[in-house]
Amino acid sequence: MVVFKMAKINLNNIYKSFDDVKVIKNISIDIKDGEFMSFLGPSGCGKTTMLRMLAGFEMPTQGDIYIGDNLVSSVENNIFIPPEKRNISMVFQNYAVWPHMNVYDNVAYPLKIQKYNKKAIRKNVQKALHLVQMSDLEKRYPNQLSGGQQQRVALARALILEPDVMLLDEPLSNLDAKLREEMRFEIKEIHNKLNLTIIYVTHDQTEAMAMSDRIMLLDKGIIQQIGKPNDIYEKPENKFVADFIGLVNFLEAKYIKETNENNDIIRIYDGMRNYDITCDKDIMENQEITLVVRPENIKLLSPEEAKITSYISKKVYLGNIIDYRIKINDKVVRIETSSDVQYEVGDQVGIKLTRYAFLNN
Amino acid sequence: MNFEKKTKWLVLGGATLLLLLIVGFPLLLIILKSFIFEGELSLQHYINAFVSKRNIVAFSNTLQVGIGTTIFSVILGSSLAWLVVRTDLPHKNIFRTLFIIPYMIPPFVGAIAWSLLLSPRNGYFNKFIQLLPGINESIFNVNSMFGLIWVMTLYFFPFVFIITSGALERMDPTLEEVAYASGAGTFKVMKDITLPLMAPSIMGGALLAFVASIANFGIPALIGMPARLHVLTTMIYSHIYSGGFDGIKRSLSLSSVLMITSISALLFNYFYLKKKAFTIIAGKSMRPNLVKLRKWKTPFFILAIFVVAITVLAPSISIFITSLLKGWGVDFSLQNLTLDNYIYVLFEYDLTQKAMKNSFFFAFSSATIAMILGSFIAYIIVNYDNKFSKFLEIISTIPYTIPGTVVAVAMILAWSGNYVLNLYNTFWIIIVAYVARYISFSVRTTSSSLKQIHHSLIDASRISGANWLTTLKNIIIPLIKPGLIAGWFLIFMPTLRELTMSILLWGPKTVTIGVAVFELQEAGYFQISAALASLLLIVVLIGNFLVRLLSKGKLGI
Repeated sequence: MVVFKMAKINLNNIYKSFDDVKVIKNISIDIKDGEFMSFLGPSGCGKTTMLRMLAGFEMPTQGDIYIGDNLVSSVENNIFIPPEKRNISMVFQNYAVWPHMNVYDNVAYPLKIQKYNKKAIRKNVQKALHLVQMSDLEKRYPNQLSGGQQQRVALARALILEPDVMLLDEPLSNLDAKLREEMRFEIKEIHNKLNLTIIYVTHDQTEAMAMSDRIMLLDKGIIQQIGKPNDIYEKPENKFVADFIGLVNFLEAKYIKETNENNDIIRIYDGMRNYDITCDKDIMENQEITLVVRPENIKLLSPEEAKITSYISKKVYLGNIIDYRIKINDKVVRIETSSDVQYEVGDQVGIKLTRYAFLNN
Repeated sequence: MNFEKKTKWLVLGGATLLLLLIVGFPLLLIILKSFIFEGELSLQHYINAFVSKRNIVAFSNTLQVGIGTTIFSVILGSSLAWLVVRTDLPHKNIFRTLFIIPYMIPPFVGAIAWSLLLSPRNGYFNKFIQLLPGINESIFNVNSMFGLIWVMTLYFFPFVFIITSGALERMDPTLEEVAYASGAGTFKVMKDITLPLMAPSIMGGALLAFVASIANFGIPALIGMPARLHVLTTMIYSHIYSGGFDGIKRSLSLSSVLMITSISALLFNYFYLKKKAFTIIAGKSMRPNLVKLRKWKTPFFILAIFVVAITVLAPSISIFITSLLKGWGVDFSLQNLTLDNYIYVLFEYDLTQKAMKNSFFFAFSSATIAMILGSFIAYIIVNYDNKFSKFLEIISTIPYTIPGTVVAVAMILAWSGNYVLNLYNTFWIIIVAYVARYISFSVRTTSSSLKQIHHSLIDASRISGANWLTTLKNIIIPLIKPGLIAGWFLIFMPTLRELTMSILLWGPKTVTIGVAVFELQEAGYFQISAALASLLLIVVLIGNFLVRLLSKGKLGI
């Protein structure tokens, strides 16, 4: 048994193909000890394949994987440590609770494999079940448990050996919305309490935002962006990232370098007139740029107060917010306001961008 | 490679080799040998086979029996299926079970029963009919083409019945409702919609009945041979019995012809009918529209009872009564009835005692070996999706799809000392033959249970620290255990009553129940063979009942 003192993880230049189909294309990432890292992306982006390579269920076509200071997978050095010897634990999307064992036996299984004595097994299982609030159900069989309860059992089983690294593969996606939110907090709490390194695979961006220290956003086997949740939300590095995380408006604009001024200018054209917004100097290379504006970062004003004007084309009342649509240069722009900002369809309005990011075209 | 990986490859590689050795090698040999005459590649064996007039007659008889049985099985099987699935026939669920019973009765036991009923001399039914005024001689003669087709139809119509009733049940009822809504009446809907939709399934059942009837040995041996009416299987049997190794040579080309005929029928089914059948029939169970029989209710009900009486009751009763008689031909009065035959068979006669001991031993061993070997083959098939695993799957299916007689000839060719091992006249050749023939049952039940295990259940064990062997022991085997037990019974039951292969492979020490019943019947000890057959029938029916109970109705023989 290899024992890892440090639970940092390094993936270096990983490639993976299945029968000539390249699913992972040159991914490198360093995950810090104790970090909560999410692999986020649409289905088929390669996030689960990344996790399975880390666990040892798939072998990379190229590249090295380090867990702690140990090289666990390297095609060049012909090293491949099987999953049972990587000292990591994993929680699966469909719970993977063994139907022929009761709750107690499921959770005790890793300890039995490690040949713990009966007394130690009992003590540890009780501790783990207490941690996931399943203490009174240890005699139950999986078919007598709800989905949420089964996932708690899977969690307890993953935690029983006090691993340094825990991998979670879309663990909440089979649960209903309310339970999902509850479990989200519990997993986060376990992370804080036990200080382990967690890698969390999900396609749900709110889940990733709510839990992660950092997010790796993948598409088509390529890293789109790695960063803290607020960086990814506020400073997306490309259109895919901006579009995948939350709602977004893209506005075509021109970036104009002003030689004599303290500021440069971003110019939006609404079909009839130009609207200029001042910005810091020398932030962009290109002239053609795209403004990235979240719906909640557009303020509705009276037409006199604002530079850009249009009229309301659609209004949807959603309780806590109102979802308005206006048109700028034939392009539909989505705006979310609090429900006390009242306009009607057809009203002339002015808009102000309170926060935005921009991308080179 | 580490220890665990080595064990895995050793186990899986060993299983593959063993399968190729006991199934692949003998079958390859029989095909090759049939094309080699005096050391050279030639068609001489086939030419010789078709020069002999006896062989040609046997081939033509086989086709007649096959086609006749198929036609009557289709008529009987599909109309009974329609009756129990799509009409409001009273007690139809009970009938549904009763109509399947003939499928469980060993065909040679059925043949004995019908010999007792319709034998031209002393047949119970023939004698009963002579009580009527104006009839002074036996009307029916079971030892004829009519007799062969009659008995085979009674035991092989369930193939058509089972497949057709399943398809009728799964048929989308809206297809018929649309026709009714368009103004068609019950009869027109049946003719224009139901029957054409069912045609591929009926054809599928018909082909199974055809293959089963041309492959059968017990019925033509017990009913046809006394009248010198030979089919291919009985011809092969008499060749092998008459002339040692020369006889085996003569049986080679006949075996090939038999094998090719049944394989072509099944390939036709696989490639042509499968595609057609699945496009119109939904996978899930539907609630079909029931046709109201109204004034026809009583006649159809009586007809259904009549079918049960003919297929199940009459033959069982004739066998049980015979087994209780003090002597053949005596009246059924109370003082002529006795249990002595049973006491003799069970406790006194060493042939039947040996046969029972052997058959239980052979069935137990071959079921166990086939389950172990087949499970590993199933593991390969489920876990490695490549051409080789597909090849293994096909190899394991072949011995059950070709006639047992051919498998037995292949076993004699391979294991009578020409190639390292001489198993002839030992119990091993019988066990190897049983394993080869029934391995597909094991592969099929195990692979369907394995496919139901989600891969994450195995991954979760690996990540918990367990290696392949530990995972196999703790997770995989416990999860497929119900499938393993059911599969074991599925092999144990038919091997217990096996006749077709045993009759060609048995030796002085390896007599089986089937062989003993057959030999006693041939020698004219009707009451003793009837007693042994009755015991076999009881065990088989109880066993079937248990398997159905264990598998909650999903499996049966």
